[in-house]
Amino acid sequence: MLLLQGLVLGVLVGGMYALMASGLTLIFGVMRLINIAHAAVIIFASYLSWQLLRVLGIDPLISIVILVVVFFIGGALLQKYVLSALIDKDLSLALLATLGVANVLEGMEGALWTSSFHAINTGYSDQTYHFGDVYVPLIRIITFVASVIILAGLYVLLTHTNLGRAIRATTQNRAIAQLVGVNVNRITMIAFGIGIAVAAAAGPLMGMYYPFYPNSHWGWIGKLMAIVVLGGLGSFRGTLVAALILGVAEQVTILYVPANWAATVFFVFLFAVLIVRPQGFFGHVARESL
Amino acid sequence: MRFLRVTRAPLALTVLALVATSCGLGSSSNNAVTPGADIKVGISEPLTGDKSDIGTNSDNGYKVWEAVVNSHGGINGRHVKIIQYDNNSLADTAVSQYQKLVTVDQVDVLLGPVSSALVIPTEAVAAQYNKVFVEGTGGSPQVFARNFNNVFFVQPATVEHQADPLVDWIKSLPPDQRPTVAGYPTNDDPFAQAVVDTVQKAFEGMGIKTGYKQTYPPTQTDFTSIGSAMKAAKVDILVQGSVADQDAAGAVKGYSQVGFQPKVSYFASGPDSASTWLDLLSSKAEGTMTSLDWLQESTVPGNKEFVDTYLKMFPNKDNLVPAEAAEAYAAGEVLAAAISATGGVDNAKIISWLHANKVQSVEGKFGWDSAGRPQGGTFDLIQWQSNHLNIVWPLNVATNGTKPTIPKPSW
Repeated sequence: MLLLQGLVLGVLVGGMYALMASGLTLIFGVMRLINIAHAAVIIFASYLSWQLLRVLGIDPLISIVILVVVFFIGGALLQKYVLSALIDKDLSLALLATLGVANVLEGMEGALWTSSFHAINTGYSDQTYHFGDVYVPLIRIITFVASVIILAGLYVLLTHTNLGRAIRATTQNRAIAQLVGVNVNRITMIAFGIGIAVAAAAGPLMGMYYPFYPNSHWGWIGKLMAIVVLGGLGSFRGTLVAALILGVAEQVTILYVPANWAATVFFVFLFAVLIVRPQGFFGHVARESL
Repeated sequence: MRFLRVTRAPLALTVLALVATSCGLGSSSNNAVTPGADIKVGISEPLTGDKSDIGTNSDNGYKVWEAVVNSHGGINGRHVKIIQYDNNSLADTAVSQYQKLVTVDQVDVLLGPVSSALVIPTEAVAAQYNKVFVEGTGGSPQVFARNFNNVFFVQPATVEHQADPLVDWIKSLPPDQRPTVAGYPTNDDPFAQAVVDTVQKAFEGMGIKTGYKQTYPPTQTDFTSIGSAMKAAKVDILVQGSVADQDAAGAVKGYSQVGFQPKVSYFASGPDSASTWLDLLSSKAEGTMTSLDWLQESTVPGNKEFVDTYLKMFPNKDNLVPAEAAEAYAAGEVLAAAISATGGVDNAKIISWLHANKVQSVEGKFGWDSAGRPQGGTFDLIQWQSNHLNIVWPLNVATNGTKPTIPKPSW
C-alpha cells in the first residue's frame, strides 16, 4: 500500500514537472537556446499569482489565464527585441541574456516581496481524498488535471494547426522551413512566447505545491533541464515520460531510503539512459554538414 | 560532425557567470570608507538562498543593534559601522567573505552568520586571524568541537539542550498518555541533527520507539512521501529537524495532504518564525511546537528598547519580532559589553574578558566555557494555540498558565 501511495503521488507530481519543463523543451526545439531563466519565470508567475490572490482575491487557477496572456506578450517581445538580435550574433550571448533575465527577476522579487518564503494558500489547499489507505490531495489532482489540459492544448496546437506545423517545421529544420515559405522569425517569436506562457501557467500550480522564495529557481532549473535531456531535447513526448519517471523515482525512493538519495537515483537513471541513448528517449541526432 | 549547435564556450561562460554571481563579491551593502573613529564590525549573512528567511531576520537584528548602539553615542564614544556581505547561503562564499572582511576591509571585530552550517566553516577564519567571533544561532556540537577560544554562542544553552523541555514534558505525562512511536525526519544540517539526536536518545531511554529516522537535503520541499512513510510506521510523535520555514512549513503541508496526523509535532525551527508561520500555514499551524530562547514580551534589561526599535525599523502587520533578530541583537550586545569593558578593540583582551565574565543581553545573563558554550541557561517549550504562540513548558513560566495541547488538532 505504501508503494501504491508513492506511485500515485509520483505520477501526480510528474504531471506538474512535465508542464514546468514543456516550455523549456519547446524553446530549445525552436531556438536551440537553453532558457536559463525558465524556472525564474515560473517563480515570478508564482509571486504574481500569490499577489493577485492576496490583493484582489483572484483564485490561482483563474490567474493562470491572466498570466498566460501577459507572459506570452512579454516573452514574444523579449524574443523579438533582445534574444533574436543576440542569437544572430552568437548563441552564447542569448544564453547569457537569459541568465541576466533570471537574475533581474530574482532581484526584483527580493525587492518587492522580500526573501522570505511564500506559499499560495487557497480554500481548497487543505482538502484531501482517501481511497482506503491511499491519500490523494485535491491540490495535486487539480494541478495534475490542469497540467494535462494545458499540455493537451499545446499538443493539439502543435499537431493540428498551421501554426503548430510551422513551429514543428522550424524545430526540425529552420533553413528548409524558410525555403517552403515559413516566416521563421515570426514563428520563433510566437514559439518563445508560448514557451514563456506555459511557464507562467506552471507558476500558480507550483506555488500551491511548494513554498518559494526569490532564488529558489536555481534549485528547479537543474531538475527541469535533466527532464528535457532525458526525454530528448525538443521532444514533448519525451518530456512527459521523463517528468513522470522523475516524479515516481523521487516519491518512491523517499519511502525507503533517505531523501538525499532521491535526486541521485534519478540522475543515475539519466546517466544510464544517456550512455545507451545519448539523444534521450525521443530525441533525434541532428546531423550537420562539416 | 557535430550533434548539437550548443558549444562548450557558452556553457563555460555561464559557469563563470554563475560562480561570479554566487560568490557575491562586490555585493557589499556598505563599501564606504569609514571614519577612523568608527568601530568596524564585519558580518556575512545569507540574505539569499535557502537560509534567506532566517538570514534576513538575523541581519535585521544586527542593524537594530547598530542603530541602538549609535543612538546612545556608540561604544566608548566610537560609533559602530557594520560592513556586511550576502553569502547566498553558501559556506564557501561565507568563508571567502570573512577573509575579505579581515584582510581587505580590515574590520576591528566580527559577528557570526546565522545557522551552525555557516558558523562552523567561518569560525575557523576568525580563529586564524585571532578575531573574536560572537554569534547568536550556531549552537550545534560541531561549533565547539575544535575548541576555538574566540567563539561565543549567545543563547541560554547549546542546541543539544534545545528540546530538553519537550523531553521533560513527555516524561511528565502518565505512561498511558505518552506517545509510543517517534519519527525523526531531519534536515542535513548540524544544528537540526544535534537537536534530533538528543531527543531520540532520551525518548528511546523512556521506551518510545523510533519508527522513522531519515535525513533529507536542505532544498527538500516535498514531504508527502516522508509523511506516508511515517504514517505507515504509526509514528505518533514527530520531532522534525527543520532549519527554515521552507522545510518546516513544507513538511506540515505535505503531512496533512497524506493524512499523517501525529499526536505531538515538534520542529527544531519554524514555528518560532511568528510573522511567516501563520501566513504559510494558517490553521495548520495550530498545535505545532518548538523551543524558545527569547520571548518578545520578556522584561530582561534592554529587551523593550530592542523590540520597539525593531518594530520601528521593520514594521509588520502583526507587530512580531523574529527570534533570529533577537539572537543577532544579543550577539551585538555581548560584543559591545566586551569592547566597552576592555576599552578598545584589542581582540585578545576581548576574548579573555568574555571568558571571565557573565554578560546581560536580551537572551539573559550567562557566561561561556573555554570553547564558547553558554553556561547556566535553559529553553522553554512553545506551542501555537488559537493563533497565539504560548509558552507551555516549564509550567512555572507558562503563558497565562496554559498547558501543552495533546493530542494536537489535526492539520
